[in-house]
Amino acid sequence: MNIKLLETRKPAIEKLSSKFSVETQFKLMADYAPMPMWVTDIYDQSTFFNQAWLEFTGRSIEEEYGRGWIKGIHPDDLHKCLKIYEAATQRQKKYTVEYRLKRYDGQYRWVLESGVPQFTSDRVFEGFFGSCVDVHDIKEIEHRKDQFIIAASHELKTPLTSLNIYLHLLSGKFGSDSQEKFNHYISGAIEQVDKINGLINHLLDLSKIQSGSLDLEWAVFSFGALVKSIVKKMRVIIPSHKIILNGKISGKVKGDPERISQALENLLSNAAKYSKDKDKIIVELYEDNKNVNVSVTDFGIGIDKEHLGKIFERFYKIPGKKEDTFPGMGIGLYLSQQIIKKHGGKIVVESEKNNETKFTLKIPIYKKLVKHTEWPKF
Amino acid sequence: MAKILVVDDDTDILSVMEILLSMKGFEVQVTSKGENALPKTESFKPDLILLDVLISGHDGRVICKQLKSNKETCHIPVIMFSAHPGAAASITEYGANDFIAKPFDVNNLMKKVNAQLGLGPT
Repeated sequence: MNIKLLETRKPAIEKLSSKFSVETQFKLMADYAPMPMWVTDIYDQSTFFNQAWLEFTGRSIEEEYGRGWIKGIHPDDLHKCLKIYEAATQRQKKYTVEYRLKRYDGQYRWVLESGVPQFTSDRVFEGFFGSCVDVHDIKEIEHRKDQFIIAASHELKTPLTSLNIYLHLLSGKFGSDSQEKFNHYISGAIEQVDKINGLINHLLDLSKIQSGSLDLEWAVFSFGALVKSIVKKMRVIIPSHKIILNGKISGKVKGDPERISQALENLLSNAAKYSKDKDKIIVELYEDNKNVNVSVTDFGIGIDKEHLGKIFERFYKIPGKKEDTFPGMGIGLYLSQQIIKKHGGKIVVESEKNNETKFTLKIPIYKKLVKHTEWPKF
Repeated sequence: MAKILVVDDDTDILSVMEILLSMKGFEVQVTSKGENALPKTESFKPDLILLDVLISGHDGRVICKQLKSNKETCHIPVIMFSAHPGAAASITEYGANDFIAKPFDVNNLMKKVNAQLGLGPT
């Protein structure tokens, strides 16, 4: 098959060889390649950059020639890069290095660069040929994953701390207690086990969503009644805030009430978590032509515009000195959004830093298909 | 009776710490809000403060530094605690006297508390 393919291409290759020099052919190919590429000489001076490199850096070939390209490397990575280049040139061996390269828009992007030494036919070293791959997004998700593991272990350790103390109290090391106190410690311990269980369920949901195996138990029910019962439950769980429920709707939805509750409860506990010094959360129910809507508004720390698009992403936690002090694994909003999307709906957010934050959960109204069993009478 | 103030944003930890430390014969006050740490210290005048590192909106280490730079409160020993790996490494520069990682062993906690208060083992 391959031989056949080569044979069919032979005339084209011959035609190209007769038309262009090897160097021109290389440049043509390099310019069509999607990844940034370059060539250096034996003194580590650049002699060529392909079109993709110039488009990436937004600089002219004249600016990049020689050692001009050094300007694009992040100052914190430059020393490491130069050491690697020097060692590779001395050894005349291939290398790989990761560093941040300045893109045309000023953003430093992580790239993975590979350099391969070039030799003449009589094995004289001529310099390096290299190419880069933009690995910035992969590195970012890797970093988020690392942060997630730290956050998840933090979250699991917190209820374990309380559980551990309750168990010590129960072990009777601290004197004999009344039955009433004994019961209090046991219920305290059970509550902490429930919290750990809840956290582990969240982790399991995450992997179910990833693998597409999160199954819903479908039912048709009144959305307003479900929201009312969730608000009632959350008023007990969040005694620090007054949850005000406004609006009334009659629309029904088709979905898994347990999962929809999970999403709405997540929005409510987030609202309380990020508005610790406020005492009010407003829940509003309304209907439009297509959807039933429930919005949750808090008056806490708010969300900066630049993060609004990312908060529904897996493992995303808004960075910041103040933001870092809040507990959480960075998967709640991701799970909620995925659950609601499985119902054909979505969660949208409106917010500004240090201002109110409003999350709105939208699910299509269930419209029963009417079967015409008899013809209308005229 | 020695007085201990516990600052942690997790109210479950606060309630169980209150039980534990009261049982051990300490007078205990707790707060889940970082902004209450300094006023509570001024009014309650504790002999020891147990301070969480991350307190929803507040950095416990900054609170520790403020306590240690105020001449009214700088003498009060502070034991910081956290479930965050790596938190221990950064606390001494903020002036904390000791650190204990969550989840902690109760006996270990009591040892540290007694050591800071100059009390013998119980």
